[in-house]
Amino acid sequence: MSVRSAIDRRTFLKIGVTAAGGLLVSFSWPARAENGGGTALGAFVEIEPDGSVTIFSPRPEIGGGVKTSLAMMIAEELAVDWKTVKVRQPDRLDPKYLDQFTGGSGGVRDSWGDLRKAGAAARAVLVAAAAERWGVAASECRAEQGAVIHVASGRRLVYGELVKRASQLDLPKDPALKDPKDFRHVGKPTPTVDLAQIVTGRIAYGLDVRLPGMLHAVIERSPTFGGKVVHFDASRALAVPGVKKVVELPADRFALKSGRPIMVANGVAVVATSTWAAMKGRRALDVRWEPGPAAAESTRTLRGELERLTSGPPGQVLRNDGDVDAALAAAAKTLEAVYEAPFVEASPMEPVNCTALYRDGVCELWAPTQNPYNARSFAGTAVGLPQESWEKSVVVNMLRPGGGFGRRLDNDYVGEAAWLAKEVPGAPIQVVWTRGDELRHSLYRSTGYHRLRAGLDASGMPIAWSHHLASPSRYRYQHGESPPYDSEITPDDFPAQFIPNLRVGWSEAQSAVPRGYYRAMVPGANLFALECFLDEIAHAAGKDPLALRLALLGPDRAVKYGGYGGPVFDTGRLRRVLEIAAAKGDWGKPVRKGRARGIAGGFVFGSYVAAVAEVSVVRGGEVRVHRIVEAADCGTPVNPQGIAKQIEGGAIDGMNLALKLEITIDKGAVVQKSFAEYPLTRMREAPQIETHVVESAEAPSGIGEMAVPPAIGAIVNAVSAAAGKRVRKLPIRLA
Amino acid sequence: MKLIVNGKEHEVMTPGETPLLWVLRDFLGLTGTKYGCGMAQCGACTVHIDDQAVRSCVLPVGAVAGRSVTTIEGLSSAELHPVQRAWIETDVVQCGYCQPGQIMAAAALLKVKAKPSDADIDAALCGNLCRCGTYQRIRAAVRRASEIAGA
Ligand code: FES
Ligand code: FES
Repeated sequence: MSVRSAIDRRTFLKIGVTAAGGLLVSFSWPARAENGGGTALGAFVEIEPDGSVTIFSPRPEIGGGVKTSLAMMIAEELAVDWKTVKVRQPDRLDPKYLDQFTGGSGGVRDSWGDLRKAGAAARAVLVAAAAERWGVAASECRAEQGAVIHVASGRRLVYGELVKRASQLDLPKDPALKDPKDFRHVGKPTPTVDLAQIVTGRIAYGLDVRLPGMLHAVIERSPTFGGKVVHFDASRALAVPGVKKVVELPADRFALKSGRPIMVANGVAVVATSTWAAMKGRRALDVRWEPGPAAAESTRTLRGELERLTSGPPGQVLRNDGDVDAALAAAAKTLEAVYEAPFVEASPMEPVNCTALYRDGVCELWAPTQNPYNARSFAGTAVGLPQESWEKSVVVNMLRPGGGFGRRLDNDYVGEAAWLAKEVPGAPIQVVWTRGDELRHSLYRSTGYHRLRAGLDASGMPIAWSHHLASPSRYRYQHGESPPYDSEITPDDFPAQFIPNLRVGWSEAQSAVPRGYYRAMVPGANLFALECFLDEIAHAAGKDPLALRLALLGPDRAVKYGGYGGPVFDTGRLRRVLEIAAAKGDWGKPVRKGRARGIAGGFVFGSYVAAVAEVSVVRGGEVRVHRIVEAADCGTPVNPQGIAKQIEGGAIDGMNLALKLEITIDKGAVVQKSFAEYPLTRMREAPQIETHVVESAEAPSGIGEMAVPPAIGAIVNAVSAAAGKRVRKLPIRLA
Repeated sequence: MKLIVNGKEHEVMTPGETPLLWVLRDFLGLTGTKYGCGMAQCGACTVHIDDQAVRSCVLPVGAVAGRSVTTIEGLSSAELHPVQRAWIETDVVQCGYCQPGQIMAAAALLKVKAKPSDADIDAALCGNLCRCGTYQRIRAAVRRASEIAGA
């Protein structure tokens, strides 16, 4: 996932004084070229003379717990009492905060070094200030719970008493980091910050922005992708009390210099003094559409094309080890199967939305986004402000998003709101997407058609493997910098490198459906195909699926991994989580009558995960998931409780993808309009979920997405076993 | 028309068919009650009318004139409501967007059933979607809230 904009990481630390005369430690770095260069300063730690400590957690919180875990890392090195720390996030997009981006499970992984250093540097000057006061060597002192202690004499000075002097000292360039065995916060189950505000409804999400004189808008967009307004009559809409304006929103490919161009649908916006009036006005609209060329596309036609593409040789061979064709011909047994994953939409609980105000050449945004730099690009482009001016002319206020799941990496909705704001200069306007809008006018994780072939030797071990995926490419749609296949498939995914003759190929399909992100998108779709085909092979060979995986992995070693989460894939770490999930999930033990278990594992964005699912199939073909056990090795577990929560949520999302979610296309338009047709897992369907996080001293890797792919694989494999027939298409439909 | 929300009386000037959700959010500035679907399919908009959990997105404000509406902002007074306390103890929240609705649904359940079984919890909260998948913790938190309230 190359969604990060290039950031110059030559950071160094700076010391300063807070307004109240306290200590301030910040990062300083050459600012982005797009902001005109220069040096920017971002506060990460503030300690006031009264002893209060504020830690800034820079990345947007979308529910993955990054606000908590990043602050924990700083608090750890700073040696303060977590309970006394105030954790804040920047209210605005500001180049001085460096990584204001959440996506690709990169939050903790990418900040691990830098943020700990900030905390350690602050601790070092506080210790130095105390040592100076006592006339002792700094090495005789240690810091703990917000105070410096002289070990020999037991003397103690709290940070508040030291900040004045500390802020005049030089920060060490390379402050010594704590030995992990001395960690007091990192590794300790820690509840999410902000809980009290959330449970009382006091935290503001994007949709909760309320500004004086604010207008509300909804947009009726072209039902078909790329369709055009032929004619519209606004008179009935304008007659609705509260409706102020009806305006056509042009279809525009926002050609972004620093971002990626995204098509925004042609539509008609209804602007009103309240959300309800806007919605009512929209219903009173009379619009005639020209459907455009996409009207020829349907799920059926696209599937036919994908099938045709995979019937021939792949458009592109991405990996070719040994001689696959010869090995297949010589195999004692061969298998062939097709695995299919549909388009899906991320559908965060809070539909996308944005509030914008355009006044005197400045566009101010209140944007619930995972990716505020990209939001700025969209808005700046939409209102036609020159890129050199964006740092001042496009202001991005950061609001808590009600979930992300990848939908908020793209900022089409921000561009729309900015464009509309320019139509009502001086008035803030909130553009609301209904759930139907979210489902029908989004960017979708692409559909995929996997043709898999395997050849087994006489002992039942696979000696040949061919994987041919056909799909429309997200990178093609978004004009990404990487090759189009890269958003669709990872040629190094297991079992690549463990079967001597192995080929991975990709064929590109054309589609008018806009392509975007989804939590764990590439592995979500691909590990399903790989892990389920492996299961199929195991059954065909009369082998235990776990044993087959372990036999393929062979002895513990590190192999190369060119995909996201690489450069190294450690087979021992995958083996270990497979074994833990198997042991805790009662793999191989008798199972209650009518139930069956499935297992799957994977290397997901740098983390190692495995799952065992226990399911039954009731009459009518309905699947019940009773239990999911997941084990994960994501390096140093910074916040084990946060990790457990992400696994629990990821397992539920695995259920969504395995059993429920599918976007289908008919005549160039999305069929699903509400949660009735796009059903998420509900409370009564939620299984017992058990999480096991491996202790590790390795650098932390991402946690937000890892749990999804193995959950899908384990559920599908369990359903295949329970139903007595192989499931190869998502979502599962047994009836 | 007159509306009593969280014990306070309000005068609102809007057609009676306007859903209560938008009256709360747009006219009264009570944004703790969330929009998720507008079709009674997700429960994000759950509030209490005379102690009963209802979906405010499909409830015309005209139907509640003179009745007592409680939103997440008014659930607790000086002290946090047992459900809110249990939610904090159990660390339920991920993105948090569905949680005001979940909490209102749970509080209404505990009013009529002080010691709910898992089946009671599942039935009462089945209409409340959580996209982040916090169901297991919600279940535990409702049980905990029942303990706190009974203590
Ligand atoms: S917003 Fe009312 S049920 Fe979804
Ligand atoms: S916590 Fe995010 S939707 Fe429930």
